Amino acid sequence: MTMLRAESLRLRQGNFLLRDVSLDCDQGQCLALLGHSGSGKTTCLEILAGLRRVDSGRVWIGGREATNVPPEQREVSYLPQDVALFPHLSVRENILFPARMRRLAPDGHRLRRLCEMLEIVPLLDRPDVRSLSGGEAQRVAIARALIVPPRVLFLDECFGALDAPRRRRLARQFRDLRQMTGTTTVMVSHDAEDAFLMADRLAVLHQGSLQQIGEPGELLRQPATVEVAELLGMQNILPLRSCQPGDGHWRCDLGNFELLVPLTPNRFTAPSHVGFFSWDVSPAAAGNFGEQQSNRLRLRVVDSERRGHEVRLRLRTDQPPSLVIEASWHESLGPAAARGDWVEVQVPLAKIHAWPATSDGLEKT
Amino acid sequence: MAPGCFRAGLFVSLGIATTVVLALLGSQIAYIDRESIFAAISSPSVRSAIRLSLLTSSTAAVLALVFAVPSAYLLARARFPGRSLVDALLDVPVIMSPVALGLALLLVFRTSPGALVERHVVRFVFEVPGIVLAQFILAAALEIRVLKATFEEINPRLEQVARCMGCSPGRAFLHVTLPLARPGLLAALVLGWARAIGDFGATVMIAGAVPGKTETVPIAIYLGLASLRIEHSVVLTLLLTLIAISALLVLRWLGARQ
Repeated sequence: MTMLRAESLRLRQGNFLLRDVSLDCDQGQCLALLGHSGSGKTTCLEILAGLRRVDSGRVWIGGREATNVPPEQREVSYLPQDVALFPHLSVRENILFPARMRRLAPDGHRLRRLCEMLEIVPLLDRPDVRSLSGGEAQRVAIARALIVPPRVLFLDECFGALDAPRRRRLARQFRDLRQMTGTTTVMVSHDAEDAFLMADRLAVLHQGSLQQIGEPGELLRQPATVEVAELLGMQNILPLRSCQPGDGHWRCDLGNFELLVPLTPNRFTAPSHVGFFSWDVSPAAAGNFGEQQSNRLRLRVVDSERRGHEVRLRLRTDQPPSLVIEASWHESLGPAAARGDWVEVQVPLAKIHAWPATSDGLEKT
Repeated sequence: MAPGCFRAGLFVSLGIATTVVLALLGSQIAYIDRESIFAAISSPSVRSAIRLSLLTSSTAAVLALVFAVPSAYLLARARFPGRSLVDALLDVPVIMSPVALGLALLLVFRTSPGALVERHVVRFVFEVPGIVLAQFILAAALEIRVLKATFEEINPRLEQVARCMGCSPGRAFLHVTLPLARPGLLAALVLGWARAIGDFGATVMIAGAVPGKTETVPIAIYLGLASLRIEHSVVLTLLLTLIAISALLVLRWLGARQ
């Protein structure tokens, strides 16, 4: 069942224009609005929560039209970036505030379950919310947002201020809570990792327009635009000089190298940019790529960055025009190449994404 | 300039400013003795002036707060055409000379609507309601200033969150913004009251200086000097000084609590 649906949302604010954004979210699902600062994701969230009016477009919540319904009648919860706990109320009063405002008797069982799952039982008797740490305040705010079951919970980058381990822990707790309560959630994030941690579906916004919506795996397999690819963490996005049609692929000129790029059924125009994720480009282990000779590049390591068991290598051609790409090396393959070493990499044909010049935002790239 | 000279210059300036205030307080205390204090306090006219001042200034400050809270909230939160102009207009009573303000007020009651109010609703000119009106205008302007700053400091996001938790805009204001503005409300009330109780110029223009009728403490000081009852005036001046010091102490305490 579709819990939230938005159709052609349009809003102009100064120079910013939210352009005909349509999206939907099923009951119990978590949808992440992903985008850079200024992409319109928070504006979109505030429209869905009823905190902003649209110039045109419609919103349905739980099957009922809610476009002109004020936020207090939408039966939603909203958790902003700064969590916004009420500083004049104690922790317990903060959590029970929504029940008090809706004139509902506090649900003791739900309060206990929420507090146990979020590990905030010892905090309940704190008189001053300003004494809470960032992580504690986030968890109290989540309990407050869920104490009265909302039709939709809106989260605005509320985990952004936490360090990575706490963020992962809170994301796990939040996933458990969603499973327990079946809460439909729409979250905003500029960080793809946060979105992957929490969301069942992603909606990528760029300069006020929706670029792509789908499951994370779907977006990773087929990013629709350069902007989607960038937001999903693709570092290797390369402009092409020219492309010639070949046998089942494009032959693309990168200056020093020729890259074979797959043809896709829906793309008849020549690509202007290609891209591939760093984890799809691995330097040859023991120099063995097998028989395939295409898309092999010889590059020098100019920098390396350790991320746990993975090493990200920054590779560069020697002759101009310079080509820089990122590749991943897993420790299990042996010691990673050092700065200054020459390595040979191969980009598998199936892992290359190509975008035609008509793709939104290419003017910027 | 050497750092030592610069620091010495700062201390000299601060010393001069402090000395001036201490001289103001000390000269009052030195001028009067215990007998003149008792004589002044036991005087019916002085007691009546104190009673009238307390009544009018308290009424004016509380009434002003009733108007100042919604006005300041609107100015702090809403965006509407002419907002800056309204904001600037409300500052006029703060910067205008109280005597000029009183005269302007007097002129209002010479216009047809003003005269109509005088004849059929409440008499203000040379009456106690006139004192309350003059003090109300002075207090309200000050209270709006203080409260606007207070509301601007409160994160509007809190109200948005409250609205998504079932609060109408009015309930969000009552349950979230107003409790958070409490120190600001008290500060505005104290400042407005102190401004009202100390006013002479606007009061004397609209209500006159009628002994026993429109004689507030500042007017009693003026009338005492005019009739050469200097001790009475000094005792009342000391009283106003003590009120000012108390108001400042309350503000400091509120600031520390915040």
